[in-house]
Amino acid sequence: MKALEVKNLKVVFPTAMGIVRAVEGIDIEIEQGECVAIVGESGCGKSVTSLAVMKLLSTPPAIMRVDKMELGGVNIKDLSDKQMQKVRGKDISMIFQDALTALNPVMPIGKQIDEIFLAHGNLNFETDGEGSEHKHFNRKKEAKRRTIEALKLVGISDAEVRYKAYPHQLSGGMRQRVLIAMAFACNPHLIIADEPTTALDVTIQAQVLDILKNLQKERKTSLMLITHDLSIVMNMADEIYVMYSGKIVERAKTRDLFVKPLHPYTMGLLGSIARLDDERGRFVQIPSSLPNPMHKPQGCYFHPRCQYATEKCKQEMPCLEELPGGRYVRCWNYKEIEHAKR
Amino acid sequence: MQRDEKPLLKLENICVSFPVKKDFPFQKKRFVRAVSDVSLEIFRGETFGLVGESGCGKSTLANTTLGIQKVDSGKIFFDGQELTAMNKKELKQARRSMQMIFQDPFSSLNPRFSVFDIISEPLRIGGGYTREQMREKVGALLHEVGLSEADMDRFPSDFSGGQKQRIGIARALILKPKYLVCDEPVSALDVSVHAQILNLLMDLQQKYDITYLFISHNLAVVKRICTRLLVMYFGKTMEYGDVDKIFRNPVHPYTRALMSAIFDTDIDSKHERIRLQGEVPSPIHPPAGCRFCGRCPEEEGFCKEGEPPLVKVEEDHFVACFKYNKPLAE
Repeated sequence: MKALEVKNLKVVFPTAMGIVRAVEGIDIEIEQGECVAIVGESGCGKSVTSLAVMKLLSTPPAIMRVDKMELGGVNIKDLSDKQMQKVRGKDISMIFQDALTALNPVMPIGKQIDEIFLAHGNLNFETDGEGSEHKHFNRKKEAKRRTIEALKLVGISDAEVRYKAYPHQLSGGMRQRVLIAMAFACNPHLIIADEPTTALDVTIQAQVLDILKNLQKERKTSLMLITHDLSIVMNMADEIYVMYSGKIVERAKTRDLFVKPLHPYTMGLLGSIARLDDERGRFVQIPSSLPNPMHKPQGCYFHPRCQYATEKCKQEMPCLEELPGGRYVRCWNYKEIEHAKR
Repeated sequence: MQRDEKPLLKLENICVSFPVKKDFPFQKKRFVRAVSDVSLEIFRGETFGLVGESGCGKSTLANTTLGIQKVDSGKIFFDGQELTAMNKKELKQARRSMQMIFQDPFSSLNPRFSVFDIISEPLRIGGGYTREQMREKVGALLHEVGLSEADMDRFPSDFSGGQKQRIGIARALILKPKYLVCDEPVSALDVSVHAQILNLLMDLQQKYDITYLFISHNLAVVKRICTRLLVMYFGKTMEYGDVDKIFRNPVHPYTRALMSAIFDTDIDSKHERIRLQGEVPSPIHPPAGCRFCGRCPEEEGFCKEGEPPLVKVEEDHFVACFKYNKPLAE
């Protein structure tokens, strides 16, 4: 069973200046227990994709079209907002980039996690069925017990004390752990992590990613990791989708992508990461920046920045070609480029 | 890189502390010691790396070198003059040859100023230029940082993050500074833009012979562009010296942990990652002894007895760690 299957997702924002095609027909498949990373620069549509999957895009203004959207085998394409509320938090949940804005500043963190259990958790089994007031009391107690358990699971010491802490009393790494605890609270099929560690320091970043990875493996949850940093993806993801200007340009298993990137954009991204064993000197760079989403170039969107661009690239958009070994690449010349590099 | 033997900037035993708000009226005054007893020398034409986690005092230290932050004790010499002994007027004059690039290009540019206004502001403050001269200068500089003259009358909101950072760089360069503080110039930008901005900074350094103080928490970038390095933890120097020497032989456990926190992109590499436990402790109540106690993977009993002094490992390589002196104390 697939944890998530999305076919031909399109998102468009009509603005006064023109139409912004943020996501242009992408397919995502995530197996149960698998971690898939979506990598791209800011503005390439990766966050819009994640919001679309959560059905959190406000429509209007956004216009969203999708052929198929199934979460754990259940169709969520046609669910109403009300029905979707029952799904979010329970079957699908999200870890946001900035934990300070994602948490309610005037509510203790423990209470905020309680809410998830109260809304979705099956808390009634411990009640003895005597009157609604008694039942309510027990529900709250049970939620608190589970919250403290969840906090311990993400490595927060003194969980009973921290339960009453407000977000501002915690450090950045701690807040991110609270968000992770929230996301895993109801054992969802799928967790979407949108740049979960970008706001953190390097040493804390490593800690938080470890927790995320261990919990994901332990619970066999599927994870959709959204990031612009290929280097953090390597140890986390099973499969990587590289996104450029609203389209998937390459899709491959992590190992294949790092060992042999096929698309020139992926090569550029990999080349621009600073490594410890580098010699001093200039960096490999991808020239200029993403095209204006209102005026995307004709042909392949990447051709103005591509050193291998040919006439054909300027005229026609290549399709996402399937290669043996479960790889996909959207490039006219990937064979020639591979040949030239050898 | 050729090194002039006289340092451009010299810091001697710099201490900076900030008062903490009292919880109740008669409480004893408390202080956060942001920087304690840091000394360093930056030579002409080099890129000096300053590395540490957030809250360790790197930005405070950088501000003291610009004369923005008052020091509690210690001396700063810039280009042979003592900054710490100057009055306001002299400081203003001296500061013309020092500039700064900020971390966040989105909030460091005034949204109501056009690009021309932003870049020419230092010239207008100094005075002595006609509008035409300024436009000419700004245009040439924009070209230099990879933008076009036509961008002069546009506003910051029209530009992407990388382009905004280029505007910030142009603003810092208009007065032809000798010394430039780059406070995490790329961490707010996309990875693919990092390389562009770092390459630009390196090109400009060669062309104008600027000395950089480069603040970062990414050791891989530091290794690539810096010549000398200071690793800071919690307001103190942990390791200091030549980049190549430190990377060849990192002595302090904190330096080693920072190095291993960099994600390798070589999928077959097998190197063991050192995981630091816990987080940076409260700066109001620093741990006794070595400040790294509590998170140090190699901590031993004697580490809590006093602060370790900075000792010489080899030429231009210093470390503050007890374990270095007593490697065999088991």
